[in-house]
Amino acid sequence: MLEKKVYEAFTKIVGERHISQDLAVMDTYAFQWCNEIEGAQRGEEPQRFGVRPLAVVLPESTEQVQSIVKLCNEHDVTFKAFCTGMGPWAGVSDPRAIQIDLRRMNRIIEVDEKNMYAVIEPYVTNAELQSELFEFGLMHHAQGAGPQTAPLASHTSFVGPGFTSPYTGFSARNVLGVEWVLPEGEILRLGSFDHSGKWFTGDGPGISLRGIMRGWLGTYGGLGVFTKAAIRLFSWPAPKDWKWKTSGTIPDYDWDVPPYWQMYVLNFEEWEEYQKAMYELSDREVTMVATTSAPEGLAALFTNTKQDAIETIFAGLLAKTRNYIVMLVAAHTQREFDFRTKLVRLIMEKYGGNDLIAEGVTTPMPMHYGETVRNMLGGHAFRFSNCFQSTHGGMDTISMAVRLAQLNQPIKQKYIDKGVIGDDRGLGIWITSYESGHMAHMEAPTVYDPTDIESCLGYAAYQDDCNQLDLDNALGMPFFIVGDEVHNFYAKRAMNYPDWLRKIKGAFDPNGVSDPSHYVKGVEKKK
Amino acid sequence: MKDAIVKITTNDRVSDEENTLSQYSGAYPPSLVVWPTSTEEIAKIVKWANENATSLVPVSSAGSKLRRSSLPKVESTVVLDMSKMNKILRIDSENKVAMVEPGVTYDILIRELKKEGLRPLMPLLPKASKSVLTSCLDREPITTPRFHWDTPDPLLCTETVFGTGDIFRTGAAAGPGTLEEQWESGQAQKNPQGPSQFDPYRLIQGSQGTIGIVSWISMKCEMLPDAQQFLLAQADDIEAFQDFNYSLFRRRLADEHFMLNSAGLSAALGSKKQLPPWTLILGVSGHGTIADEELDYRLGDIKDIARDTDVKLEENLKDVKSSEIESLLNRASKVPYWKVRAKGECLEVMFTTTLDRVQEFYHIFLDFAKDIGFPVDQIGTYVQPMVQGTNTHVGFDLYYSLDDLMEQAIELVAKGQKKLLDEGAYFSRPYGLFTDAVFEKASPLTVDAMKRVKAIFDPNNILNPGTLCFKEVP
Repeated sequence: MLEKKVYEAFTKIVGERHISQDLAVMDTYAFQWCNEIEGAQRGEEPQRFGVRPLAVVLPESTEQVQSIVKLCNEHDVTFKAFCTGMGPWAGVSDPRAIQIDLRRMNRIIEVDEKNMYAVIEPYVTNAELQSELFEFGLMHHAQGAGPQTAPLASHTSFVGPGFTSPYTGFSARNVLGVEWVLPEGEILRLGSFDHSGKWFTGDGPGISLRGIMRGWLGTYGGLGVFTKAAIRLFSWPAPKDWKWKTSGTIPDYDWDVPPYWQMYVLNFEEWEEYQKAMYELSDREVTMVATTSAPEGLAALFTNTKQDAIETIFAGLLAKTRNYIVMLVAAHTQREFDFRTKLVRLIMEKYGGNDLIAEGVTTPMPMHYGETVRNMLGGHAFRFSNCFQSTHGGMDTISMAVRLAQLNQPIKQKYIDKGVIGDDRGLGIWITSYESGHMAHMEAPTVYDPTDIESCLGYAAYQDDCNQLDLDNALGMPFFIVGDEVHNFYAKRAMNYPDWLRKIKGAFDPNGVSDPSHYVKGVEKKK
Repeated sequence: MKDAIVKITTNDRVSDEENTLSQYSGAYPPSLVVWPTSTEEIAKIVKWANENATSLVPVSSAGSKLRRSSLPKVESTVVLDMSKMNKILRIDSENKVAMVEPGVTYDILIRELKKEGLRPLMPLLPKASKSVLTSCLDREPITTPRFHWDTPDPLLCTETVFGTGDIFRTGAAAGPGTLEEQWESGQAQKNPQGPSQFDPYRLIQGSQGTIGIVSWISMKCEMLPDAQQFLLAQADDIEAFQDFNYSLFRRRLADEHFMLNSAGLSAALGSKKQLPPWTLILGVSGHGTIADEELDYRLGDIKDIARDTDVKLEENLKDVKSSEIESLLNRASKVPYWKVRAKGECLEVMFTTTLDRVQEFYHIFLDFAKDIGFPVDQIGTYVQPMVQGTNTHVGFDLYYSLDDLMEQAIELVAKGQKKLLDEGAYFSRPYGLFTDAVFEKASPLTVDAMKRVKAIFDPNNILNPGTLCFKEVP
């Protein structure tokens, strides 16, 4: 329990209705997806419950967040901000910690239609933002975690791939400015805002402080609290008079697909042809989506229940599917659509591919078009065992992503053979390209049973093997190389980068109160 | 001092001759000029400078310095002339990337990229002696906003010697693994982010040499067009293009996309034609399989947008031909530099805003010019959309000569910039004396945060002291 006077001081900031130390409430924050994996990797017994916070506070404004953070510094209380968070990084790690739940800060502050950016608060979800953006014919880059999650969290703090990445890029590269409560409680606003009252760029004057804000992975909430983010928007490729229209009931709802949209599943016998096609399709800007997974993954993408997915797999999908790209041509005009679809066909023929949709091997329903751009397809992977997690994650070129996929297979197969992870024959991966093919990443989504200790331990061991593979073979840095011990594991082969992270942490969080568990501890902690 | 630097390098790559030093002279002449040839040499010099409280200024581009950012602002400086590190280290056409050292200039890079079917993402008519690396580090706007995804583009990874003397590779280049191992694994130093949970490339870029000395960068390139056409439009007011521009940004149909006023276009063309007040320039292309059809579809959709937004696009205007515009692009300026060709001198004003405020700022600046007595027809204006149209670079070039209008030009730059700053223009790349005013407008916390960053990477303030908000000297 927090000392009474400290609890009362927090209460004074947010009011009695917006603070709790009820144990049942605290446990809802401690119960996080994948805690069992991190526990297993630390040599502990796998379990969903992590560290229970001492209190949860729900501020409604930046000023309240600032007061809370200052109070944490004053009383040596660690804090971790929380939006729609899911995962160990969303929870706290220190027994003397509070959770700052930002759900009351849920406004879309501004949509600048012409200059294509939105300013949002932490608890705006992808679904809410996109609903508002349709009116302007715009979309944002929504992270793969799904429509129920917060774009601010992804843009400011956590990785950032999405299913529309070939067209909308990566969260970290779409930030135009932030309002940021630093770990000691100062409010920093990046870029143009202080000079113009507008958020059209987050860089300068001179150096860009985005350089310490998140990097590629994000600081996972280890360097303060973000209370506003200005993020880039993109054209929603549909005629002006098109309206989002659904009917029916989830999961079998219907959706009016915009007129110049066409989905493909281009299938290539060998990786070599796949790779060439992926490069060319991405470079030519014909597709909004370029996603690769296993045949089992394809079954999960375009079905709505576990039963349907399994039946699809055994109905011949495995035999007819090799290395494929789920593509979505999404054009603004008939002319653009005609060009793009013709080019897709020519590239497919050039590399000896076939279209599994045209051949009836798989059949996306209209709703699956919607599920794709809403980033719901990742969620489909949960259907098999109610749980999956990804290994790897290195991001650079398409060719590296393919090499990762090839080298991953025998390692994954080893754990499949042990019966501890789901059997996708080692082919379960996700590759997507970014920014018209300028980058790509590969991760390996893997199904395991979170209620089974052997499965959790098995998955954790598989992830450790993947990390070692990437380290030994110079295959990029995986997503979950965070936290002091894990950083140290990669440091020597990566220019001792954690030394610099620790200096940044020390300079901006001298009291070490912004939870460092998925970032680093600073070198200059005062206490 | 000279003996110590000679020990690190060689005698023929160090000079303290007055004639040489004078070429690099800023507020003060340097004490020494050294031409390093390797990253390790740079690191040794930086460590020596830390031990001996000596300031260092890296210089990569040859010739006159309009912005003077790489000229010494304090006494007893050692200039590192990086021009002997001039190799193109790698070109990878599949991954559309080049890796270059500081001494590589645009014309050389363009020639070598062309052999691999590539072109650089580059600014409008850079100086012939302009370092490609410096241009990328200075956030010089590129002419092709469609390919500009994030502010740092086309800059990707770097190898940098921080002010501490530590050698560091940024982005995916940091590791795991050596460059050779990364190439073997299929990497090409394309991911500029990281390593891990910070983005040092964002700190190095825009720092004007105050965070580290960069020994190579990787940079985004694009495929050479197989089919290309230029389209032009003219208007009395830049606002006439606004609806068209905003519609076009959404579609990413054009490659080159920018606007010049009559004085700016005249200077670029090197002629004194009667030119329209504003000219909009679009380059449209197709490449690879069915390149002609790609060009046709892009042109078709662009022309539809133009019709809907009342912009008349033509291949040739009355006094400007597409071929003339094409000749300005994808090359460096001829000597003398186009900005100084007509009058001999040029002062630059540049800031970032959104396109819908450009006309307002333009008139503010021109009204000021009239008040001061600087002829508005000697103010070239370049409007370059960036980050796929999310924001816009505006550059005012004041053409003058040493014996005519110099005082007015200096006054206009000083007071005009202040007025623009007061009205909300964002000077994201501040240079010269005006820099202090920019940081006065910034929040004190921004300055404090920048200083905390500086203290990490250059704790003894040896790198280009007196620049940006970093006033401390070694």
